[in-house]
Amino acid sequence: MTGNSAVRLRAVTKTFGSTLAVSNLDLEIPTGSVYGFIGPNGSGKTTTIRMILRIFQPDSGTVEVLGADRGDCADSRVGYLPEERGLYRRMKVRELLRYYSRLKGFRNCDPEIDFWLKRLGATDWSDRRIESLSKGMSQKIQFIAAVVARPQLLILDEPFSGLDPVNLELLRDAILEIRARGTTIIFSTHEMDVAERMCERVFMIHKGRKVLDGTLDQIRSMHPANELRLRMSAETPHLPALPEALHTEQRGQFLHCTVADPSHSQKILQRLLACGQVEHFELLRPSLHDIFVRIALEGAQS
Amino acid sequence: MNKIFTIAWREYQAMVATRAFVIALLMMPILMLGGAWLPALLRGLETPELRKIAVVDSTSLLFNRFQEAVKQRNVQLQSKQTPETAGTSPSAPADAGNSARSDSDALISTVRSQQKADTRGEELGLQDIHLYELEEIPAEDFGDEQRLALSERIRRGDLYAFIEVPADVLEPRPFSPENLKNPAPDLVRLPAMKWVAEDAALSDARRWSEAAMNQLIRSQRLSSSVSPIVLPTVLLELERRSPMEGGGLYARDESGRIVSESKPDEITSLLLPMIIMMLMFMVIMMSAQPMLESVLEEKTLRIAEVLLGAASARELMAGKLLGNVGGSLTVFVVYGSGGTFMALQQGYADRIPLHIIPWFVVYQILAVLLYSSVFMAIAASVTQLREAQTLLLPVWMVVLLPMFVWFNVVREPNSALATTISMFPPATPMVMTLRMATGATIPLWQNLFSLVLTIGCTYFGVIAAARIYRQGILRQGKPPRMLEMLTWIFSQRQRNQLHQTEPGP
Repeated sequence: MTGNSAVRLRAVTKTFGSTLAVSNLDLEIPTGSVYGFIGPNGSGKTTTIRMILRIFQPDSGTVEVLGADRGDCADSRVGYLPEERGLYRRMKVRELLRYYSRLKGFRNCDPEIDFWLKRLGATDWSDRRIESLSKGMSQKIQFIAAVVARPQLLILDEPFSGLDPVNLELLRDAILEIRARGTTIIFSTHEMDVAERMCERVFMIHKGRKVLDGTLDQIRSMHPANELRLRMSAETPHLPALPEALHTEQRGQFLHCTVADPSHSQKILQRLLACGQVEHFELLRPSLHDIFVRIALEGAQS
Repeated sequence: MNKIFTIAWREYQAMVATRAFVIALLMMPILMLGGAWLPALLRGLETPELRKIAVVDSTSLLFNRFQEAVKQRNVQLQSKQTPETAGTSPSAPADAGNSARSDSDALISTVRSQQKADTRGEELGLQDIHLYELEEIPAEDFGDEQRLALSERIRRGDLYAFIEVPADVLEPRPFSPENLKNPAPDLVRLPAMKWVAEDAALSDARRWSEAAMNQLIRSQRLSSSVSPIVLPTVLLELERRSPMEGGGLYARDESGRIVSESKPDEITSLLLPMIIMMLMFMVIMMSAQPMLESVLEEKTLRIAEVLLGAASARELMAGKLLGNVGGSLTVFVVYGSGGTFMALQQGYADRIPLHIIPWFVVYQILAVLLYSSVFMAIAASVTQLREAQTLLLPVWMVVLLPMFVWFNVVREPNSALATTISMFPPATPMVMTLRMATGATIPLWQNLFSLVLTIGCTYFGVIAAARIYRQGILRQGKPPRMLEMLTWIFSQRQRNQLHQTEPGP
């Protein structure tokens, strides 16, 4: 491991024919962190993950994973849960978990399998064939397959898809438990609220280029609050003109205003107070979702 | 290496420890042997009918004797007598009062019964289970109207067939030395009888009627044209066949005596080589097909992505091939031990060609590696079984090539055809073991040369398949064209990188 980084990508570029999948990407994932990978479909997330897994080799640049910068397959210390479920349908749950564990060189895996089956409430399924499991059950088994060999780096691609809220919480706690053991986690997702809740740092890739990378606070500070949510009392006859507002939209009981600069909010507040009683006035911080959508839309327009 | 063995063990289990494998293991010999027994079995299930045949006998001499022959055949069939035990033939006498004819016919029957090839049940129509009765149609004024009327009766089911016997069928051609050298066109054309029925081309009844009628015609010609008693019998005796038995090569035994090696028979010369070739074919089939399904499942269910996150494409392919070879050896052991047990039970222990076994195993491993690799590469290139089947068509043609030529190879194991095809590496494992199993002496250089060729072909086949597998396994969307697959094999740049046409999210 180099320094304190579990993964380090330097000037990595990957093309497929004439398609540029990843362009000149630099990325450093600190050891022990939960790092979110976000980005629209086709942005280069999966290609980046596959390069970290050594399924793909970059055209140029270096990919250093847990201190190793070469190899023709993933390090045995890396666990991977793909977005699409990769399970043999005709295998039994325990057989399959043993197989995936042994492929990672972890042979004495039964205690760990028992631990995780119990932890995720799946003990009764150990002798059932994969094809008889529901989507949610399969998802849990896929998760166990990724973590059963006690990886140092765990890559989770959409780990919560197909789970009901109860099982989602169960899996979330399990991920946090793994993280508490010191495992670095890369978390690829489309669900921004999940990324916000789970990740300390977020990396967003769009059209193969890095467009965001940092802690959530750093990212938010780069995208200032520019939206107001307000509500006037019922006695207020009408709203005053708001020249500072770039765009207004009534959503339910609230009026949403977009401003060019957060400082304009004070002027708007003064205008509203002059007109009547203000019941609600809030300067909204952009969520990760908003930032994601904004960047994706800007990218699409450009 | 541990990863390769882990993958191989799973692959072996997935191939062998399944109900489908056990069923296929049992079904293959049943189907193949059943193919030989089924016609006889179905014949047994068929209900015999009494069918009527109309005969228009323009000679006026043959109908009664033919009717007698038909009756005898019916009796034989009903009493389930074999032609040999019956001791008679369709040419048995119709008229017991005619002693000259009776004697000659009796002798004819005796001679014919000795001529086994001519008196086989097939020729006598005993394989046809139906009984027949004849109806005589007056030959006078027989013309197209009558033919049409009889045809209508056949269509209605009143009649099975009608036979027309022309009057000149009994007349011998006027032979002279000049005629024999330069026969006039009208002499070359022989008077022919006519068989009219709905199944005229393939009818068993037509075959035995023709055979029986010809014996009657011959007998009649001899009786009427030469001395009625002596010459026909003498002529028939003169044309009695002398069998030629097959014998093994002579060799000196341990005591110094010159002895003939065991006599080659149908089992060792024909059946055994065919069984050995079929065993090789079954082993290839039962290995390559599961490989296709396994890779296709890994690709379509995205298992390959998980596996490639744990093992390299090279390890994955090596493990899968190793497991597949293990499975094929299991098939060999099961069939080999089963075949040996049956041979011992049936007293054919000395017919087991032990000297072939090492060659068989080596060729089997090479064939399984070659064909499984090809099937693997094809499965990695496509996303559906239907697409795979299109690409597999030329492969199947090559796999089945030995099936088209096996009989010629067995008849002449050292012919130019047999030698050439056994040097064509994809066919070598099946054809070479087929040649060896005939017991013929195959020049050692041919064994070694074909082995080297097959090893080389298998090596390049596996390498090419590995390149296609690496490129194709993560690829989604439409299957590649042949040209694109060749690019994957030969392009250096492609070789260094995995390719994906549809980058994921």
